[in-house]
Amino acid sequence: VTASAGTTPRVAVLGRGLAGAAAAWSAARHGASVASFGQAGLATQLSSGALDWLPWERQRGRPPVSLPPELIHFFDELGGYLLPTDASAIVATSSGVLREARAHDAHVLDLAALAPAPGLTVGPVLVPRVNRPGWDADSLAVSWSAERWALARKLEFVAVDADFGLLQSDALLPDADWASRLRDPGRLQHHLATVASCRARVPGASAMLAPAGFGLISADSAPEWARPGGEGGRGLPIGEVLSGPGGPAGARLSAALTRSLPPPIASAARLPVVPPVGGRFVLEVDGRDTEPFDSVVLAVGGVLSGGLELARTDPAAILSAIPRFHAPSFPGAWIGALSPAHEGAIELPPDDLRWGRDLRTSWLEAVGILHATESPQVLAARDTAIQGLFVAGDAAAGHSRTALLAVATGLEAGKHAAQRRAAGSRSG
Amino acid sequence: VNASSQGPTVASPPDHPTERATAAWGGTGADVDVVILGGGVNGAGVARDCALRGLRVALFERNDFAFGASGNSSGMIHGGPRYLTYDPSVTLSSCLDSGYIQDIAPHLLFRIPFLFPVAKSRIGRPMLELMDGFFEAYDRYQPLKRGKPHARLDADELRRLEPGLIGEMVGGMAFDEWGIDGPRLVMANIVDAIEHGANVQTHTTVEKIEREPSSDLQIVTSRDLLTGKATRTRCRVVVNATGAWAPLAATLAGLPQKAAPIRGGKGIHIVYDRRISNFAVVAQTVDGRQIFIYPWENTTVLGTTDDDYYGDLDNVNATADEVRYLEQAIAHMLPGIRDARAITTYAGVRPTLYAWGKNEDKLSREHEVLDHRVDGAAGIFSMVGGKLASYRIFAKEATDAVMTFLGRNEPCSTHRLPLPGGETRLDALSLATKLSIDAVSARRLVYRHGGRADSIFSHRTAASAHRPRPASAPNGRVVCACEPVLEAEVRHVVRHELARTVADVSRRTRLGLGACGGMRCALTCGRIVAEETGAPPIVGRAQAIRFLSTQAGRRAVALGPIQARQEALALASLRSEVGLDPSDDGSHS
Repeated sequence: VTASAGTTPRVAVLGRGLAGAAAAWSAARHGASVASFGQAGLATQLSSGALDWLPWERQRGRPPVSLPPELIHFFDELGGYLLPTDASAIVATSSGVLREARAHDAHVLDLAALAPAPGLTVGPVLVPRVNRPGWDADSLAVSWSAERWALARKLEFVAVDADFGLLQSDALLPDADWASRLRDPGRLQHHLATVASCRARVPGASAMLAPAGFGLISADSAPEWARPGGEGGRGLPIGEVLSGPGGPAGARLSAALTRSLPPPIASAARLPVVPPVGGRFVLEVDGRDTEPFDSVVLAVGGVLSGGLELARTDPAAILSAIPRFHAPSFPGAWIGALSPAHEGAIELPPDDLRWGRDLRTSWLEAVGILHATESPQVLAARDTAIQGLFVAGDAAAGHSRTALLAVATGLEAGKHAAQRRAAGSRSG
Repeated sequence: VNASSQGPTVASPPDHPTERATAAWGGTGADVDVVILGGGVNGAGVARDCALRGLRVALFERNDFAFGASGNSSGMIHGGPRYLTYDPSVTLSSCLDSGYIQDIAPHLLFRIPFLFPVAKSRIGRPMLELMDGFFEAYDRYQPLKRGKPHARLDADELRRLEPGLIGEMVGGMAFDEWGIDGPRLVMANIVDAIEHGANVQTHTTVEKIEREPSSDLQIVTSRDLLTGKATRTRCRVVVNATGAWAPLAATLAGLPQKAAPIRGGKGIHIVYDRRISNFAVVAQTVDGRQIFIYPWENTTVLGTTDDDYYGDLDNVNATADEVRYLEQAIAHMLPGIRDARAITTYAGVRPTLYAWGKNEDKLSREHEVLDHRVDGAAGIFSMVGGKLASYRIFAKEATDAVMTFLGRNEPCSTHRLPLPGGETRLDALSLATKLSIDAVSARRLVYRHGGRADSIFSHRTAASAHRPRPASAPNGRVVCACEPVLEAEVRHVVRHELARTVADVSRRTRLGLGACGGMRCALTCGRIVAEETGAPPIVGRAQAIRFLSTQAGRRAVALGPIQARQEALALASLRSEVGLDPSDDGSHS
């Protein structure tokens, strides 16, 4: 961080998840000098490989909106994600579900590209019998075939024997570790030969849907017909299913973010945000004050302890600086506003932290800090009482449990943060 | 008269007294001799006892086996030390029965050594002397249940045994009790009853009990809550073994609730993600009650409360204030509890004997068999009160009453004949080697199924014949990695232990009760249940989501705000994979 105050705006981004990365990227593009604090976020590592615009159950049946060019640009630079501009992808999950996704990890098989509309004849999708945790090819094939989207297209999923040379102990490897094994050329070669033999045994097969970790094939080393997201009719596209927390998609996304960000200044420090002095922010890192920043982007996620190791009282310090944020909300009711009047640690009555029973919308409701306004686009820029403090991603949540929204808010926050220089310098 | 004898009957063994009895009524053809309401430990115990004594038995359980108090207790087969001071005969019979249960189900019992620290105070010393004398008296009963004599410990010894203990202590006691997995005890009784001809139905509620006008028979109308199908069963005796539901069940026969009075006492437990003590440790609550913490498998269990309960019995949940009450009490002695993560809570309602004007803790844990002849309903009996440890003797007393009513006199043999799995011993390590499965899985299998653990795998092949399994998936495919539970066992409990939902499987196998709360296994389990029951995949998925939803609700009351946020994020991530609400029909374009 070399720029001197008054010439280049200094932006501190707290949090190194998707929102933080987007904010840092955006602030830098708008001419700011960016310092990044914290470590890769928990939410990012939980990425399943799908990128939704709205939480997916809310977007079902809606025509896809066009994505902001800046957002597409960000993902292009990050690499590894496919963002169809005018359609949704359909991805299979390891829970036996077919679901829409606005965009997806390039390793995940997009079924919509395979069978775009009912009425086309599409060959069966091969599901290899592989000894991986939670992977029961036969029952998954039955489950996917019974989904309405598949029935409408007469798309069948067929379990096939496939000897990928897995040892029994391989079943115990985490997905991400398993994925890295395919970097070995010998393994990769055997892998591809196995796919080819499956293809030969089921004439007319249209694709192969493999367990998480099987799609991690370097696009350069794979033959054309086997490349992820490859060629619909001519070849045999192979891709992964969407898997839950701990899958390779989260690891891939985290790795991509780490590559794209400047190295962190502090990874596990206590970082209380103190009220601005003279319109500028001083952070405390390892007991020492930093040089003042013109603006701060708070992108520490709905899981406040996820991006940063915060002391027990620190969430209170942060929250009390943002008087218009509310406590975690559960269906139907506000639990009550957290205001600066609350001193000390915030102890929410845990009785209120209960998932509603039999409420459609409430099953797994977000518990992030809920913003008073419902609009997903609203940023702290307009709403916080403190000028220069911006909030992005799930920390500004209530809505944002999706990667695309986290990025969109991050881009917006980074832009505003970078543009605040003049005001900050004047008052400083 | 002859026509009615062609009605539905269950074939009884030839030259069996039942046939003579049936003939004596003029051929009015009861379907069974006795209908039992309730699949808790008492209902299961009566079903087994009746079946072993040659009666034709039907049992209807409204939810699932061990759904209420039986499956949500501390799981102690104790010797009843609390009765020692005022009714030593109860202690004697408790210890005797604990010994019997060890004989018939040796695989299910495990020793729980207790530590009872005494804090330094004005009365600390005399207290220790009193306790020493008390446990010396209890020691005389311990051999009946293969218990070890107590030991008096000084403060240093206590700290050496249990380094996590804090505070000034004058010393304490070590004594010995036995623990058991409540649902497995119920299942063992149920399986034995089935093997002796009982017709057992879960998720089946009884809607009405009527006296047939022209005979002494009772007509029990029941309804399968999953399929909606109703059934009428004609029987001679009805046993209401519904625990805390007893007053409600009595009304089905037109009796007033107070004919089977219960004072339901709610008790909750909290389960933590790690073992924080070596022994069970007794602690005192803010209001002077005794609670305890004990290590169980990979976890720690803390319990329990005792509060009058008037809510919905089908839906009993721990609340956050109950959690705090227990945690604060144990944290005085074992502050390590604050660092452990609560992974679930569970709650049940004790069917305590009714009494007015007493504190919950002072209510009798005794039991009674009520003959509703006094209420004008001959042939209907209610079992009220009781505790897990006394189930066998309670079942014997109820079965004796049934036998007397039916004019029969076969003796009870439930203290002699082993429960399923208790017939033979099986070594877990050799099972693991033989089947090439994980040793921990094998040990859990042997714990739950005893000598029958290997038979779980023999069922597997036949039904999978239509569905070739990959050669790479041996017997030991793990469904639930936390506990760990094998696919073979999941299929076994659906086929042979009447599991019909994911929650049923969980109750029988502990699937989904580990650290991750079922997040990685509930859906797989749902697929297997759907496949085994011939239901479409969406049904299994909906069951899994209901299970996860219930588990999330049980965890939520024990989480602090920060952990709650992490939890919600994990659940939201799971939802992105699963993608539907419990009420969703799964339709999307």
